[in-house]
Amino acid sequence: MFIFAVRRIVTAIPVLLVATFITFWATSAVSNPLDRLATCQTCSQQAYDRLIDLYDLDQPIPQRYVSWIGDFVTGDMGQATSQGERPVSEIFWERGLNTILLAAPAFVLLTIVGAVTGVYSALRQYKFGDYAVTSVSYLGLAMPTFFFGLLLQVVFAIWIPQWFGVKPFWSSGMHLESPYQYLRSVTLPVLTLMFVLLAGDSRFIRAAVLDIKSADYIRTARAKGVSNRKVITKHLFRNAMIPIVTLWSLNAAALFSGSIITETIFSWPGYGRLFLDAAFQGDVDLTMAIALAITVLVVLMNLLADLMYGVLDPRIRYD
Amino acid sequence: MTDVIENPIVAGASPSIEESQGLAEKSESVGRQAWERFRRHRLAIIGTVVLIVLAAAFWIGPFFVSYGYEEVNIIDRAQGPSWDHPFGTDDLGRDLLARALRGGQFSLRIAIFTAVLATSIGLVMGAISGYFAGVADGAINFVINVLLTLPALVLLALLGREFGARPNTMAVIIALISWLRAARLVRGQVLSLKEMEYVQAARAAGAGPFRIIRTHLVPNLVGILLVEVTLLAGTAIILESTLSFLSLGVQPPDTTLGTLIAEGKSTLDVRPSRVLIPGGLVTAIILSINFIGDAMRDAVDPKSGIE
Amino acid sequence: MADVKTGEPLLSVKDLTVSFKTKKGMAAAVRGVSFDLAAGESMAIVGESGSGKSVSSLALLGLLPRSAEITGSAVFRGEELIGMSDKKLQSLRGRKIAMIFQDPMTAFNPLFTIGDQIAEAMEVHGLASGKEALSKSADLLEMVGVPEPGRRIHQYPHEFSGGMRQRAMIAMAIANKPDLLIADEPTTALDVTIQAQVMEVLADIRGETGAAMILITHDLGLVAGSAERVQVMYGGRVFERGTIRSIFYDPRNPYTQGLLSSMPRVDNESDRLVPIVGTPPSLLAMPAGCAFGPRCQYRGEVCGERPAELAEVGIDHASRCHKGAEIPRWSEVSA
Repeated sequence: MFIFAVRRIVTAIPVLLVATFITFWATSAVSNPLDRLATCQTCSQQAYDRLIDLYDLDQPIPQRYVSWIGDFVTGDMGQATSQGERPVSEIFWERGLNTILLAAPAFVLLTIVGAVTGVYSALRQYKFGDYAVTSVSYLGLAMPTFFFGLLLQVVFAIWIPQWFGVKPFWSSGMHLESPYQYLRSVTLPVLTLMFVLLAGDSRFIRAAVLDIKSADYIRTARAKGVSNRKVITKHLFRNAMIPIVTLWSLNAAALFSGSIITETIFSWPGYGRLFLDAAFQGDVDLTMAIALAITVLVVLMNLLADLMYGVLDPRIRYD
Repeated sequence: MTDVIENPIVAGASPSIEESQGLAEKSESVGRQAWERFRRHRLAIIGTVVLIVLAAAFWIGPFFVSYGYEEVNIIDRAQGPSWDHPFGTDDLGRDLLARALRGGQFSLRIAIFTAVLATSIGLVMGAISGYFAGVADGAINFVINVLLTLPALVLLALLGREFGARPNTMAVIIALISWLRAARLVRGQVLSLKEMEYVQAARAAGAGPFRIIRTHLVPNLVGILLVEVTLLAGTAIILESTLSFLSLGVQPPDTTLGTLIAEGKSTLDVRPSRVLIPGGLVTAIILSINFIGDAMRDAVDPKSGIE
Repeated sequence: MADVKTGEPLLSVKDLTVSFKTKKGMAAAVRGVSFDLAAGESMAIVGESGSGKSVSSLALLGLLPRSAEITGSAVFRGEELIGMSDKKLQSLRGRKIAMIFQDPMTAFNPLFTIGDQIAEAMEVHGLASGKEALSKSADLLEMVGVPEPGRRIHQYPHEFSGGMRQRAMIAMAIANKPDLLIADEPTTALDVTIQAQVMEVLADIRGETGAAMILITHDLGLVAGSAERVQVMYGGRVFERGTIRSIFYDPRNPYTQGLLSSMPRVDNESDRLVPIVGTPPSLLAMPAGCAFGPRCQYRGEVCGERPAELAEVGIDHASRCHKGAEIPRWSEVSA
C-alpha cells in the first residue's frame, strides 16, 4: 500500500506541473502587473523597472514559470504585489486558515448529511420522505451557489435579521471573538457552500443505495434470517461506504470553487476573492501559491479515496 | 424477446419479476418506446412547456416591451415594479423586464452553444480514446486529469475576463472545461461497442476506423449524447451566470441573467426583487432542463433507474 | 416418504396466488398453485422464465417486494406462512427453510469473507457465535467438498471459482440443518461439468441431513436425477404434475411434451430437437383461455374461451388441458 501511494504521488507530478503551468500561463498572459501602474501619474520609471525585474517580464512565460518553480522549491514564495507587497507565505497561511474555517465544517457536514439523506431517500423510495429529499435536491441542483447565498441573505435580512444579523450582513465577514460569534458568522456561508453540492451528493448516494438494495446479496442475507435492521446496518451500509468515499475526492475540488463564490458573497476573508484579485492583477506569486495548494489538495484527496477503496473493498489490492 | 422461435429450455435463464413484466412490452419501434417512457414523466412535460414558454418570451417578448434593453432613462431610475415597468428599473433607469428578456436570451444561447460544443469535443475525444486506446487514450486521459486538477473557476474567470465579452467566445471558454464527462461516457460506450460482434464483423470486412466510428458507433451514441447535451446546458447556465455574477462575462450594455443578479446585489436589502427575478428565471430554466434530461436518460436507458 | 408419525406434510401449499402492482395494472405471476411436500421429499418445479416458479418460493419466505399481493395458504410444520409476522418469518428463514440462489457470483456480499457469511447464518439464529461459528463454517465447507476449508473461510467471494462459490452457498444453506431447502436454479450460472458436481453435492447433503427440497429450474434434464416429483408451470399455473416417471415417460400435457421434445435426450429416437413455437405470454396480457393456447398445436375453440382445470389423469398424475383425451401419448409423439 505504501508503494502504491508513492507511485501515485510520483505519477501525479507531471499532472501537477502541467496544471500549474497552465494556471501560470493564463495568469501571466491575461493579466499584466504593469497595468496597475498605467493609471498612476506619480509612478516613476523605477517602479516599472522594479515590477519588470520582480516578475521577469522581459522573459518569455515558460522561463518565468521555471524561475518561479526554482524560487518556490527553495522556499521563496515571493511577494504579494496585490496585497501591499506582504510576503506571500504570510498571507497564504493566514487566509488559508480562514478558508479552512469555512470549508472544513462544510466538508464534514456535506459528507454526513449527503450520506444520511441519500441513504434515507433510497430506503424510503417512493414514499413521502424520498419525495421531500428528492424535491429539495432538484431545487439545489438548479440553483447557482451565488443565487442561493443571496436568497439566504434575503430571507435572513427581511424575515429574521436577529439571527445572523449585523447589518449590512452580507459584508459581515468573519468574526472570531468567541465560538458563538464564529458560529453566527459561519452558518450562512457554510449552508451556501454545501447546499448545491449536497443536492448532487444526495442523489448520487441515493442511486448507489438503490442499486445495493436490490442486489442479490441483500436478498441472500434476508433469506438467511438476518433482520431488516441488520441487513441495513451491516450489509447495505458497508457497501454504501464505497460511493461515499468517491464523493470525498469530488467534493474537495468542488468545495474550493464554491468557496470562491461564497466568500465573495459573504465577504469571508479566505482565499476566494483574494485568489481572483491576485490573478487579475497579475500577482503571479500569490496566484500560484494558492493554485498549487488547491491542486495538491485535489491530488491528495484522490489518493486518499483510492487508499480507502483498498481498505473497504477486498477486491481492490494495491501491492 | 425479438426472436419468433425460441427454445424455451434454453431461453431466459434468469426469472425475475422485472423481466416477466418486461414481456408486456409490445415490440414497438425503439424511438416510440423511448417517447412513451419520456411521456410518463409529468415533470419533464412541464419542464418542456416552461422552457418553450420562456424561450418564446426571451426571443419574441422584446417586440412587445415598450422599452429597449439599453434605453437609459435617468428620470425613472431605481424604481420598483410598476405597471409601466413590471420588473422595475435599474440605476440607469433601464427597464428590467427588457433586460431580463435580453439576459435570458443570452444565457440560453450561451448554454445551448456550450452544451453542443462541449458534447462534440467530448464525442471526439472519447471516441478517439476508446477506439484507438494506447497512446491516444493515455494522452487524452492525461489532459482530463490535468483539467480535473486545475482551479477551473479561476481559469474560467481569467479567460472570461479576456475573451468573455462576446457570448460565443464565452461559450467556447466554458465548453473547453465541460467536455470531460461526455468524453468519459463516450469512451465507455465505445469500449463496450467495440467488442460487439457486428462491429468486429465490420472490421473483419475491412472497414476503416473512421467508417466504423461513423456508421456503427455514432448511431449507438445518439441517445446518451442527447441526454448529455441537455444536462450540460444546465451546467453551462450555472457556470455562465457565475462568471457573469463575478462581472467577468458578457459586457454592458449587453447582459445575461447572472449579470442582472450581480447588479441587483447592491440593493438587496431594499429591492430584493432585482435579485429574485433573474435568479428565479435561472433556477426555473435549470430545473426544467434537469427534468427533461432525467426523463430523456430514462427514455434512452430504462435501466438507469431514474424515476 | 410422508411423515410416518402424523402423516402431515412438511409443507402444504393451497391456492397460492401472487400478483404485482405495476404501472400497467395487476400482473398475476402465480395463479392458484397447490402442492404438498412430505418431510425429506424432493420436488421439482419446472418452467420457463416468467412462469411463476421462482416467485412462488420467494413468496413463501416473504422475500418479495412489498408491491406483491399474496393470497392463499402455505402451512409449514403446522404454521401458516402467508401473513406471518416479519419477526416469525425471520426466525424461520435460514433456520428451518433455507434458500440456495441462482448466481453465486452476486449472491454473496463481496465485502465480507465467505467464513463470515456462513457464520452469520448461524449467528443470527443464535446457534453458534464467534470462533465457534467460524470453525463450524470450515466444517461445512469441508462437507460440501471445498478443499482447504480452514484457509478458504478467510477468503472473499471473488477469490472463489463459480463452482466453489455455489458449494459455499450450499454450505451456508445447510448451516442450521433446515427441514426444507429451496434451490432456485442452483446450477444455471455454472459450466456443465460443474453443474453435475454441484447437483451431486446437493444430493449427498440431503442424504446426510434428511432435508426436503424444492428444486426450481428451467432445465428438465437436471430434474431427472434429483427429484421424486415434478410440477410443470406455465403462465403462473401448474400445467402438469406427477412423479418423475410419469412426467418423463407419460407426459399428458402438450406443454410438457413440447418441453421434452425440445430437450436433447439419450433415448430420443428422432435426431431433431423440436422447439415450441412462440413466446411465453405476458403477465399483464394473459390469453383469455388456456395460457398455452396460442402456442399449442392441439388448440381448439374451447381453449380460447376459458382456462382448463387441473384434472387427474393417473395415480398421482394430473394435467391441465381441455383436450386431454385427444392429446396423443408421448410414446406416439416421440416415436
